[in-house]
Amino acid sequence: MKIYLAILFTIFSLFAVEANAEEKYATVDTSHVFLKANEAYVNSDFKAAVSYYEDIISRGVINGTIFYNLGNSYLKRGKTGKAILNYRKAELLIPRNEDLQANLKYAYGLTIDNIECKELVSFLGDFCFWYSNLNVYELSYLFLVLNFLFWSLVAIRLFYKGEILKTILYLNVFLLLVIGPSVGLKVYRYNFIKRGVVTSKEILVRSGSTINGTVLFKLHDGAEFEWVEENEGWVKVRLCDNKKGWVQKKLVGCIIF
Amino acid sequence: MIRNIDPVNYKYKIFSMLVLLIVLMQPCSLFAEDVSVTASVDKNDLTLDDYILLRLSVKGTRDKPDFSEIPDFNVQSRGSSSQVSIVNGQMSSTIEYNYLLYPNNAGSFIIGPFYLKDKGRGVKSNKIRISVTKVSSSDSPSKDVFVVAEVDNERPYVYEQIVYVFKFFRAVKITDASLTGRPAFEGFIKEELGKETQYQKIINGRQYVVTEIKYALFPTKTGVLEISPSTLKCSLVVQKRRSRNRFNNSFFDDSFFGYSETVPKVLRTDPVKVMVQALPVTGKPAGFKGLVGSFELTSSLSAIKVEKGESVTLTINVSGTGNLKNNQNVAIGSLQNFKVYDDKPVFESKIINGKAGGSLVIKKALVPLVEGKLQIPLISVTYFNPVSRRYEKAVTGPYVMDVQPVKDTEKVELVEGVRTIVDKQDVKILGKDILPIHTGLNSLTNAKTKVLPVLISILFFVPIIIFLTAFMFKVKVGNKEEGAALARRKNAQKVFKKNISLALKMLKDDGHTFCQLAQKALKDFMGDVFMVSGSALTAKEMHEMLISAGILADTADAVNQIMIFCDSGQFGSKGHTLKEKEEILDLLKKSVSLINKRLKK
Repeated sequence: MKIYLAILFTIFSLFAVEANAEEKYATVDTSHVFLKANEAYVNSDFKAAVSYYEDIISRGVINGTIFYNLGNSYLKRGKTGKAILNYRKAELLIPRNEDLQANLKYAYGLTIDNIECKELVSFLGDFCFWYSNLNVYELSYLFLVLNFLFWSLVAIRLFYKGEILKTILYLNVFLLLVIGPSVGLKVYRYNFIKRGVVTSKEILVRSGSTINGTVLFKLHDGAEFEWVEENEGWVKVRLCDNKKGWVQKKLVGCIIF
Repeated sequence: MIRNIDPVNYKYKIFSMLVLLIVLMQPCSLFAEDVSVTASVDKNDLTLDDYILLRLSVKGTRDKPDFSEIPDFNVQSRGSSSQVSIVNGQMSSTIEYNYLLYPNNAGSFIIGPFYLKDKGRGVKSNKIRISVTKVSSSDSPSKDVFVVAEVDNERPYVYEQIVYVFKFFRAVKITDASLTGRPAFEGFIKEELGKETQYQKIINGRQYVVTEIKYALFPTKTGVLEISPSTLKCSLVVQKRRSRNRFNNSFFDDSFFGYSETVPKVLRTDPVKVMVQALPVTGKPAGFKGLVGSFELTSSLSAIKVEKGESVTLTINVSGTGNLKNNQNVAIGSLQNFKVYDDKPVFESKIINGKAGGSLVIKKALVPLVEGKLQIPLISVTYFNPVSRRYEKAVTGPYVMDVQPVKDTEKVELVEGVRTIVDKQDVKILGKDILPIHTGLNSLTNAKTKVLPVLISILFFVPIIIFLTAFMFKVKVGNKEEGAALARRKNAQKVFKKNISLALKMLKDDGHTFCQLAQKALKDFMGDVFMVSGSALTAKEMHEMLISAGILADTADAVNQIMIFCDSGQFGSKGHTLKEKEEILDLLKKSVSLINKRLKK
């Protein structure tokens, strides 16, 4: 029961943030910019395309396709890190998009650093299709619908104890048990674990958050890491093999909107 | 503590231990004994259908003597036995290897010596002389088992079919019969002639079971040919009687009280001589290829009228008894103006009138090369008929084909039926690029705005509220029902008192009404207490309810008694006295009081 309440609390915290967010909609002007961005991309003016797509995002449009297009534009310009950063942002919104997955795989192929992450989450992504194919909102909605069904069925069962109802209730509980932990994990990772990407050709990872810190190791364009904390223009990073260090914030990007 | 040792007793103990030690060391002498091999037989003179038992006794070792093949004898192992004996303190071991020797030929033979290697030195056995004589054929009918080999024709022509028959006669039970030595049939071509058959035959008043095996033989050369003997091994089942019949009664001579043993037996046929004659030279046709027997020839043509270039099938069928399987020569005249494609001849073996034969089917595809009337000449098979003793010729045909010109002048293009094979190769990657951008204007829809707090509230809060409301409603309804039940039970005593006061008023007036009111008071009380409709309760139901509620049996019985009393007062002809009614009223009050107290607890 406590776990159940914890999951609900986490979801509520997410939705509370979403509910307070200022809703913005595309305007006619934004559409015009979008068309110009697409035209620039088709004409191989990738610099202009990047500029237009960035402009759309700065207007508050949060859409997986825009991040995807921006990633494409960066990749065409040879900026692998920024491309991966935007692809990863797009992935949070449109995880089932095959073009996105293909281009992301292509971009990963261009990176230099060999960083392998053998986490439970990656296994979960392979095994539990709903975890990898649904974004955090979709998964949360699914959970809420199951929750609605659960309480409704329990309420009906107070007065009617039919076998069919019992079977539906068991099925509902099973789905809740399957989806619930996935939602909890996804929401937790979405809200509390930040990921970052190196957006410069090569960066030095230092022992401290100063320019005088000892250089511990180097990272290259497109390398991913865990964004642990920030301190006055410096970011503490952690790799999958637990290597840690500080990098300048301007040389990396965070995978959040 | 020091014990006194008796010197005499002490010496005796030492002596005993020495004796024991010597006895324990005795087995060592076993290995020290001399190694020897002795060969012995159960008899030295025997006939060809008999056998001898050879025993090889090996002393002083467990090694087996070298037992290579004995020429002129078939050898069959009969196992071994070992024996250990102690004579005058000397232990000796003997292993006896037993063999059955079946003679192949008559004559005088020396078997042995047999060798054994012991610690690098060779030990050899003695030799044994064996004399084998032929079996007198005149003895056969009087024997329990015997074999006979014969041919149906002792003077055949070369290539003429004769039938070799092996017969196994037996008048007693046998086991493990097997044909060990089959004749080589040198100078003959042999063919199986069906499966073995079995029948019964009476010879000299004795019934025999006969097993018959037949072969079709075709002599391939002239002169005297000898078919070597066939050998059959079997075991005769011999019934033995008990050595003593203590009861001296013929009843115990019955086979039931006896036991049986098997006696190995080897049966051998006499060699069969065949005088093979040459085929007559007179009348021998020029194209004769050695086919001997009796044959028929038929043929058929798939079409008589065909277009030029069209194929027709000529089918030739030769059937009969004889050496057709090994001689498939069919003569057919010149087939000029035809392109001939020969099919593989098909021979199907058959047994016709107890003789080997069959049918041979030869197919030829004929393609006429010219137009007009084309003739397929006579087809013939020449063979020697041993029955008529002359050469005969079976003929079929001829056929005349009407070959028409090709009607369709369309040019026929011949194509080769060869599968087109293209070498598969991996798809080569010539370049790499990312997939294109998405240009739909729906890309400008803000994904985050899809999250509606109202919807969350509906999906999360509403069902919980519904559930809580439903739950509280159910609790409230339940409480109400429970409260009513409790109130009814609580007032049961009060209602009873009210009802019983009415009955009390009728105590002196009318017995019928009193009983009716008293019973009603009891029934209403029971109904209130047990939350059921009291008016419908019977005496039996009340009793069961009270017992199941843990009320004492006496009280339940009292209630039962009250119910019977009231029933008789209402429906019986005999009325109750005042005293009886007072007593039952007291009993009723007491019972209700007890029930009430008990249930409250």
